[in-house]
Amino acid sequence: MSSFSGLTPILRLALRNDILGLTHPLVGTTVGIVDTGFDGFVAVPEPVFDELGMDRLSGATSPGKTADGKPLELRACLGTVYLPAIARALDGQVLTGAGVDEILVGTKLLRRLRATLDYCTGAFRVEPCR
Amino acid sequence: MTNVTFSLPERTVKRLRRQAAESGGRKGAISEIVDSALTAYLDSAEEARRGETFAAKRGEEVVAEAGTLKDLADALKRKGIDWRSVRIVSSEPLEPVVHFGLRLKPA
Repeated sequence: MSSFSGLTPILRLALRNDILGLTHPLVGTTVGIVDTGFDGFVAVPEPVFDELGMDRLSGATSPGKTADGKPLELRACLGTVYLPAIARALDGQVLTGAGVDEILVGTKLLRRLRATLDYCTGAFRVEPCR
Repeated sequence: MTNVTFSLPERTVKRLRRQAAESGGRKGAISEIVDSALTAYLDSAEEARRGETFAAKRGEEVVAEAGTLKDLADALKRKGIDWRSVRIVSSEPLEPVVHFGLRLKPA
């Protein structure tokens, strides 16, 4: 299900590491903040990254920067975001690093969806691209 | 070469002819432009159809490959391959620069 948290669009999702058979959360879904200023796939706090066993899979590091130009060193590992509202599993690079304290959904994930933001009605809908 | 007949909006034809004239107006210029444009479009469409793929590699050897991480995990299980012995890679390279939005929080 998609909606707003205040004025911020959010996605209900679950994160999966299918190689190790691990999920976060263990049951149900969690909140991902939709961040159109983030051009990655998804970013998660370090405890979530480690809980998914992504620190154990061969990963990579990626330099990044915030909108104000601050440099970031990010760890990256391939993982899956499951969106139960549309029954879709999307694979991509899961990133983490110091200062990532929320699950952020970026434009690399959104580009596989039709996302409709309607602040007039307070509706945020996603559907797969046709 | 094959002759193809199709219809285009007049505005597009004018732009095409103008571009061909600016390219020197030589014989075959329009065909070259159309071929170049269509090839770029078709390459992009085919790339989009292929989508991202995932592989498990031992050194440079691909030991399993699939269109999704779930299918790759299943393939590794079927083949009895320990995930610890392989690297999981994507056909799409990890892009080096990632922009994070600036989210301000109350103190």
